[in-house]
Amino acid sequence: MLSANVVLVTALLYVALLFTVAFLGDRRSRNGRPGWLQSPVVYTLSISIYCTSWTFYGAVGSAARSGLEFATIYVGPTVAFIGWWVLLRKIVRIAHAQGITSIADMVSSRYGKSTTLAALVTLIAVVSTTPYIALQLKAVATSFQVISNSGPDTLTEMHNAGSEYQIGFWIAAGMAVFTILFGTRNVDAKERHHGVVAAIALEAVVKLVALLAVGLLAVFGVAGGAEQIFELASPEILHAQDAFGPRWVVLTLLSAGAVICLPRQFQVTVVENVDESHLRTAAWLFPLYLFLLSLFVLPIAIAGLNFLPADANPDMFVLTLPIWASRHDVALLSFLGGFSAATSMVIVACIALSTMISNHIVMPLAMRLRWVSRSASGEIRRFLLVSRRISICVMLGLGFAYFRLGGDSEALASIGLIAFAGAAQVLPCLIGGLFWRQANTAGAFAGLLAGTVLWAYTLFLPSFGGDLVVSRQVLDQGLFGIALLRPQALFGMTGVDPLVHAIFWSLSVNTLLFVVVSLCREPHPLERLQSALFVDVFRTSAEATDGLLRRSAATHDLSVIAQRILGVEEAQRLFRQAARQQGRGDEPPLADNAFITRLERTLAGSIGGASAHAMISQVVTGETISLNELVRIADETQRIREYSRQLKDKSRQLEAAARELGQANERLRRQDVEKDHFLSQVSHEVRTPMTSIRSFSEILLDGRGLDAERSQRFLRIIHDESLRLTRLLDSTLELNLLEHGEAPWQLARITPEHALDQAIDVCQGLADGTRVRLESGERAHGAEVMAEADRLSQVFINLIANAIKYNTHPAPWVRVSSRIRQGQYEVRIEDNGPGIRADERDLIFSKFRRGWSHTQTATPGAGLGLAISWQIMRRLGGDLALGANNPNGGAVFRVTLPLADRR
Amino acid sequence: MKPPDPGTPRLRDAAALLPALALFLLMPPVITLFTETRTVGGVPLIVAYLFGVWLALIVAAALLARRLAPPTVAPPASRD
Repeated sequence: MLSANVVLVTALLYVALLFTVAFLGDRRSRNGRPGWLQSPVVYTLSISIYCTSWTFYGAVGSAARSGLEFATIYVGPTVAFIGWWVLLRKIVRIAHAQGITSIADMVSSRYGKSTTLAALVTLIAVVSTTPYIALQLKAVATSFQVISNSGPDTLTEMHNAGSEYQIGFWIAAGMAVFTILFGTRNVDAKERHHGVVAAIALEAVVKLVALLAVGLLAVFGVAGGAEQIFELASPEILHAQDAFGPRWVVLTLLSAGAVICLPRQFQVTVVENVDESHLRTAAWLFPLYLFLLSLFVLPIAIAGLNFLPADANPDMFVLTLPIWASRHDVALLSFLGGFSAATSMVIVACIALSTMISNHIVMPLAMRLRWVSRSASGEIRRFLLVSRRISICVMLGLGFAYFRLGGDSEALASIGLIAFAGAAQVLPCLIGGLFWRQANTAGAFAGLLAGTVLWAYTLFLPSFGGDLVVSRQVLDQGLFGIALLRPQALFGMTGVDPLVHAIFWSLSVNTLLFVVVSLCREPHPLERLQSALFVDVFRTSAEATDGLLRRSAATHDLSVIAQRILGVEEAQRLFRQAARQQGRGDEPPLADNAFITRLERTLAGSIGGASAHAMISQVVTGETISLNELVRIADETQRIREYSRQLKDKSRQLEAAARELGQANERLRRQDVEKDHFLSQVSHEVRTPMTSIRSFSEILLDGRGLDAERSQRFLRIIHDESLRLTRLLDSTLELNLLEHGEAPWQLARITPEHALDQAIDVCQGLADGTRVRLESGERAHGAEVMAEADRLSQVFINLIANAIKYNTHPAPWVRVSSRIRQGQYEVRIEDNGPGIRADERDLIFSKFRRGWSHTQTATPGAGLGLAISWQIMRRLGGDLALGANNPNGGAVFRVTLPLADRR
Repeated sequence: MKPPDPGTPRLRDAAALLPALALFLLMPPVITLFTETRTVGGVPLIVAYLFGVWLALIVAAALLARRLAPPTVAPPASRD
């Protein structure tokens, strides 16, 4: 049998070990060599303060009483952690980006840095945590009594109330000392307490080892094996049939929420997190820890039910089983496990709550009531530390008082779930704020307030039992006698488990008000900024958002605040660094938007976001939010859409350019073909006269039997053909020159009628040699054009000569007329010849075409005349066109030139 | 700009859906399918199912977490 002294000495040695570990951890991290202190494993172990003495002892008790229902408390957090990608990751990222120090800080920071919201969350946290602390004190005190009181009475709980309270008091005092020593050394800018985390991790290991030891004892030591232990169990133990109802669902989801938003859990999971990637390890390692812890709960419960006396308290099986089995080493270990579970919870809860109280209640009050003088630097830090230490003592005092006053009542046993339910009221506005931009302060406040009131009315106050706060009468008949307001049957919902009932009403009204009130109000600029920063934390970088809030302040004022909160040294270092970044050398930094925002964030790490914002607001002016920038930053999808539209435009342009290139290529190819065609035509045209010249020359050279007359004729033919060749080459050259515009022409103001008369005279000679009658129709006198006289004449001669040459009519005539029409000088040359065939109209002005090829005429032309004339007219700025055949069936050619401007 | 998301879109979706799967398997009505009084290797069926699924979820989460490691191991933020 263990004596009380042995247990006491062991406990004190264990506490000394904890102090040592905490001290070493703190010193290591202060020296800058954190090493294993910041490993993912230590991080995960610290999260295990979720398993308090309520779960260490109470899980077995619950298993013995209600079967598998105990598993919900562990399954819930498993679901929450394996779903880290969805929720926890976002919370941790935001906390890093915004310098969040507590859950109240996170909620208030999201909703426009509202002080009232932070205060409300803090109050809820204090109210729901105080009974929980009392529960831990009770558990340690009871377990100490059980293990140290010898004799058969041990196994049934013998209460020595007085000594129990004494034990409770000393434990509370001891934890206060520990917490103050290691939790409030200084106001760490990021609220991290490395020494405490190290001690917590050690306690987590002790917890696990202790429970595993008792479990192994139960399975193998007492029962003799895994199969045997379940043979001992009657199937009803599991309560399998009724375990999986609404209560199962509610408890699982409640635990999942609690592991995120209980203040102590938020502290270790989010605030103490140094590296987001540690979450990846915690995602499976923490569920594994819970798994191992719960593995032996059922066997222990079964063994206890079977071997221990029937009236033994199931909550103490973890301790009484090894005592009964005479394994005092395991019993001592089990006691230490329970002790670890209780103390680690209380320590972290006190740290979290003291931070919240000092940042969100004391600090705003102090600022409003001007308790803090503006002159002394470093004063705020001291003030904060003192307020935190006082808060710790107050919290533990409240916990002890609750324990003392309500120690024996039913209240304590069920307080765990009640505390969960209270903390869960934060969930709607927390999760809603992370994903819904429209969520604003009024909605969060309304929901939180309503949910808390309902929670208190339906769950918290009735739990005091008896007539402490809520009388029996109210419980049975409702507030003011109204049946619909019965605390455990609100609005007629009867027959439902009280916890499920309370959760349903409080969370649904909470969420409903949150959503409805948020929709009814427009967010303020600061709310809008914060909501964008929170909801879009994965899409924007912190630096990009630094300059969004437009403010101006005097650097001196800012440095005063910084020194008061961070201390002189730290503040000066910060300002020097900022000045260096801004490139200002030794001068103080410029208080631009980015600097003010960064400074505010640093201060928030010490006093919470709301207070930091309030303090900075005292010295800045003109705080406006640049809505454009906010839209630009927060609306990255819009940017991406813009960019892709630009890309589409560009690719369209590229397509068009490619098409044009293709067309140009086609044109070049066509022109290449045309050129080849032209060359072959020219060579063909040249070959014919050349052949004549060659053959006739050969005959003359041969000189046999040629009389003088024949020789003369042959020579003339040779001469004529040479002339024809020369003419052809001249025409080709001329056409080429015309087409490529090489030779510049001298345009002068001329009277085209003179050119026309000249052409008629020249052609008269030609006409005289034929039977063609050359007539002159109406003439436009006094017209003046800008042209070259010779070229114009050349065109007229070409046209008239063509008309004369190719007229096969028996009574041929050619009529030349001119007139002025629509500002143009127009010449018509028509004949009564065969006209131009329909299929040749389009090609009449092409090179080497003879439109009268179907006629048999004596005078062959080169076929370039019309092409040259057409080019000349284009060069002169006019046109040469083929009109419709006249009524006589002959061709009509029209030459037009714009009139010269009247001087 | 922001660093790229770790893992592939499929892995990220799987990580987001794993808790939903967990709830599906461990909530009524699915879990009530296993409440018959049978034993598996001496252990009651419901106990084996509950703890078996639990362990499987842990393993799945571990595998996913490893695959979702960020591409480069960056040192902790300089603020520390």
